Amino acid sequence: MYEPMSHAFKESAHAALADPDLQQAMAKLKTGFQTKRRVAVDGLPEFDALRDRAREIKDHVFLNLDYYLERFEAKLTEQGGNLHWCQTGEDARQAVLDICRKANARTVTKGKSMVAEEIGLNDFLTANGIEPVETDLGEYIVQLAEEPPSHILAPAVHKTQDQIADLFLEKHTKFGKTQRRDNSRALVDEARQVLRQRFFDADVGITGANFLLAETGSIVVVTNEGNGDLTQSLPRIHIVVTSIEKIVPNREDVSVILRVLGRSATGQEMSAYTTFATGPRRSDEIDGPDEFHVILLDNGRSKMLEGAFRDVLRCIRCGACMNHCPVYAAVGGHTYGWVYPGPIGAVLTPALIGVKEAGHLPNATPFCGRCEEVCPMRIPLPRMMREWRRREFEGKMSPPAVRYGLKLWGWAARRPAFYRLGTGLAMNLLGRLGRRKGRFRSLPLAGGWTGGRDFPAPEGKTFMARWSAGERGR
Amino acid sequence: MSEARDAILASIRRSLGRGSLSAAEAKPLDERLVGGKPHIIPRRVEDTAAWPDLFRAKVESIAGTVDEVADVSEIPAAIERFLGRRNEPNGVVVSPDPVFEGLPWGDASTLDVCFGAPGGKDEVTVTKAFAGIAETGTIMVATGPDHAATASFLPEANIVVLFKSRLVGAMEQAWARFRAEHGAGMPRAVHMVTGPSRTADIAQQLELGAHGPRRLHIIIVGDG
Ligand code: SF4
Repeated sequence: MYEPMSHAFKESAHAALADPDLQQAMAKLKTGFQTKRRVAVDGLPEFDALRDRAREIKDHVFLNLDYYLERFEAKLTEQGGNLHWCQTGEDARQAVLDICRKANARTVTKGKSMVAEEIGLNDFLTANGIEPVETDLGEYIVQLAEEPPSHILAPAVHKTQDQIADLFLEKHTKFGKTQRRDNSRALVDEARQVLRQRFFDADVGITGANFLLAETGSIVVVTNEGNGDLTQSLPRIHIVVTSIEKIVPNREDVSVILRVLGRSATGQEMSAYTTFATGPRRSDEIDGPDEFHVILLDNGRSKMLEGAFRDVLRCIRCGACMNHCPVYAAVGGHTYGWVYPGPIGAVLTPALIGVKEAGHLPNATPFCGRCEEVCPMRIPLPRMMREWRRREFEGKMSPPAVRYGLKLWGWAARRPAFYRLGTGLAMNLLGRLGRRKGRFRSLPLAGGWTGGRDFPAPEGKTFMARWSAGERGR
Repeated sequence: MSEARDAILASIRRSLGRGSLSAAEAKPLDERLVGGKPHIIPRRVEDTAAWPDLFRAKVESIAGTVDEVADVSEIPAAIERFLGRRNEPNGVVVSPDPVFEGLPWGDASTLDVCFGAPGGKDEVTVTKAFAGIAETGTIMVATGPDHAATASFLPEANIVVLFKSRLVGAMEQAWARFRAEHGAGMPRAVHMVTGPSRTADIAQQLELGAHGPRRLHIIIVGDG
């Protein structure tokens, strides 16, 4: 299921644009995420100062990453936790499996974890006779549908309510739920009922981590549903699947980043649950797991520290860049063909799985600069996309992939239907070719973000300036 | 495993173009690790007198509810008020905290009280907050002999008792207090809870009570 399909961006984009359900679901990005973020950001005068500080904190960590990881390990061990260092996704999967096997685990519940997606953990566990049960509602929906997530926060954002109602009817009949639910409240309740027993039955709970605290050896998990906390509190074993760049020195440092995370992600000042978990249950505590394992993945990140792409390691997976990306809004997350979609995916994916598979993703951008404007960690995403492209043209990329990239441009430019659909993608491509000036009006499939206002043809600076003046995030 | 450890640390150092840090180089980092130095505290919490109002407004803005009583002895009646008003079943699972164990539960005839950790079918829990954070309407709770993590996540309704003296302005102030009472260590889990459980995973429509409580009710207890 997680075989990268990034090379097929062109075909996937075409299909996505012609999919009315997807377009209906994606049109809500603006009201759903953009407006809420805007309101939350406007409500905190210190937001920009906090972003600057958040960036400084992470940059400081990266310069001393070896030190902080060693301190984290020492603290975690002191509290009775186990740290598993893993260079590759394969090592990480195996480490998880070994723990599950030793515990004779048959089912594991899972909180949402992008790193677990990155290493393809679900398929691996299933192949080895262990049933993973996703418990984040969005993850649960895509797991039932046998699809990968399409958004790093809202994995099922591409699905309409009707599609989910049909899916639940089909998959929940075996739990005695034979009525089709026609509203979101009833659908949420049904999932809650079905999953409740699974939390109690699971032998192992697996979560990700948003941050690793060197000060205390804690892992910090930010969620809204409460599933992550049931996942780590009820089973006998808690496994945290995470990666080396998530270190933050101390609790004051993480406070800074939390203030920009929730606002950027969902427009919340704080997500409902921010949990600092530190080791297994203490002897005098009432509940909690007996074993606490942290799987610490590198998977190429230590190499990324080196140069051009170090900044992207600051990413806190808030999703703001995709929520504000015209290309993402038009084609949806699946089109990017791997775990991380949107602008962050366009930069991170080539670094993690190679330019051969994903080197052309950085072409899928109008360089409007919106992602960088809203990124709480001030990651220069457009600059990095340019850097990937520069590498292509300097011939560091494999020749077929380069040819492929060029073919993609030609393909879009030659197709009037694609142009008429008025997608961000098409505009980006046309804009890059420098043949169009003026405005697009009423783009049917990108209505969610053009919102009835004229849309300027992309022309570099002017385009960016318009966004800055009219729609600027801070 | 230790092979992987060495390889990852070596790769980091290679990328940074240096060896491991000397003790002298590590010294400022050691100091930073202790923590305790806030960065930027939002101005909205400057006025300490406004904390109670700010806290209440923030909790209500995220679909929580707040009640206030003058003394601990009024807690059972406040719980009845909350549950009665909404026709909730009256079984309540109360954290085994000495403060709660000594309350006049006998006066609250509509409550069926037991102490301990909740199971999957218990609908109401009563827990005690370590602190309340006015900045965002957040409650901080910590696991221990007197508090189970699941008490904050399993029920339909979680009632949290917050002593007024434990209301702080910002997160950093809650941590300062935490260090003062718990030292440098941490219990198994510290939860910051901001409103009831929620999800927008069905077509981006906000629904409360995804897996955790649909209702979060905070009873602020005065100091006298
Ligand atoms: S790149 Fe920035 S905006 Fe995008 S997910 Fe990461 S932190 Fe958020």
